[in-house]
Amino acid sequence: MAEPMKIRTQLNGDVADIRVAMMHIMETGQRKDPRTAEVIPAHYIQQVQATVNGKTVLSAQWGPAVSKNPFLGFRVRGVKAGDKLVVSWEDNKGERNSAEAVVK
Amino acid sequence: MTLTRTLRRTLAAALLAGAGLGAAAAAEVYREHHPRAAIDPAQGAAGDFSGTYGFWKDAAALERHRDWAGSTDPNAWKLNWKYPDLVDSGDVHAGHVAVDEGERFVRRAAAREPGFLACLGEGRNELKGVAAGYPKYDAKLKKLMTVEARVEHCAKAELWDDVRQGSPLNTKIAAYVKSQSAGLPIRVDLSAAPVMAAYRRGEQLFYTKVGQLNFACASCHTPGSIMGHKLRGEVPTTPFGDAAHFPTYRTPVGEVESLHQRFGRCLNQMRAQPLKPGDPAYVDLEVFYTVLSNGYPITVPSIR
Ligand code: HEC
Repeated sequence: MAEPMKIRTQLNGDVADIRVAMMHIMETGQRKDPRTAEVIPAHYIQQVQATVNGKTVLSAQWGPAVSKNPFLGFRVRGVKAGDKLVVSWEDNKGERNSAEAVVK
Repeated sequence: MTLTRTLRRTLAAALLAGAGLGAAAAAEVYREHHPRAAIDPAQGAAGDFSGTYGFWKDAAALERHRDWAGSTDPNAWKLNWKYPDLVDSGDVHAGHVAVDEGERFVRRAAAREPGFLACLGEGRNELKGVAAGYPKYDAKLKKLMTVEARVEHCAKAELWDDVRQGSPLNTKIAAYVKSQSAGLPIRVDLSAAPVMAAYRRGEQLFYTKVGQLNFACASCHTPGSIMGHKLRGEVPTTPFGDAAHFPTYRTPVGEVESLHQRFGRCLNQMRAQPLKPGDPAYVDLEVFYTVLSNGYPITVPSIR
């Protein structure tokens, strides 16, 4: 389940503008397969975490209302070039993914 | 149900016939046409007939009216949906991920079969700038080739692999190939007779009414039509410049889609049967559309 995740950072002074593109199906559990009339099981990201040099800077609880292939943008203060950023998520099936980037 | 299906088939046949594929059948089908707008193919994107070119022709123009973007301002359509290319230029979105996936496939395949890269690069082991000249006539294959057709051809010829047009993999590889020409102006060569002929056929298709609603593409995408007016929450824009950002990541779909797949979506809205990606009629339409983007820079990866 290592679908790629892509991170871009842009440093303005000590504020890092961070943008993350995640690839996830984000099934709500509300849709039915039109052919079989069976409910498509829910499958969505529940926990998102971002750390800078190991320190948590963002922690979020997501739900089925977030779109497929979500985009996450946020700013972190007190960051310098070369800091290590890690973004990770865990979904309702317990699948996890994470990606690293060096702030620049 | 069955009736609609039969009707749709007939209409698809009619669209095909309009492409000159069945000249005999074309004579029997009653067709209506939207009045033609004057287009000078030599002008490319700058020949835009909607009067909006000045709003989307470059970054400075887009910046000037940035406040229209995503707003309910009745002028917003004049940006021709080009502002996501600008806003997202330093950004990251699923279009980038798709390009990465396409690149990974090409690299892996080329490591196994170097001929694959040479085939995509038309003899050079290099893809930079290649896509800017598409669609083009391939004298060896005696065929009009789009980037997607080239990908399918090279996969078959060099990898013995079926990477059919319209498949997610084909579209991702095509997006990668096009991204290697990002920023370069499109230059479809109209001096090649088969390309000019395709342009004329594509133009004809653009004005031909099809489907249960008897719409032509021109019914929504020319001045004096629905273009610039609200249509169920959307506003149809000019066809000029469109080819530059395809394949594009479609947020409502969650996938990258090729220009042919977009044609299919509009045909569905027109209640006409869409054709298969790669169909000769779509290739003609793509030639027409891409000539209307001549001189405009390629902006792949993109998001719409
Ligand atoms: C009923 C009106 C209607 C008709 C008819 C129609 N379209 Fe569209 N088309 C739209 C709307 C609305 C959009 C989305 C807004 C936009 O970008 O123009 C669109 C978008 C497009 C786009 C994507 C533009 C972009 O910026 O990504 C292409 C390409 C396109 N149409 C081609 C065609 C072709 C080819 C035909 C004829 C086969 C056609 N359309 C017929 C309404 C229409």
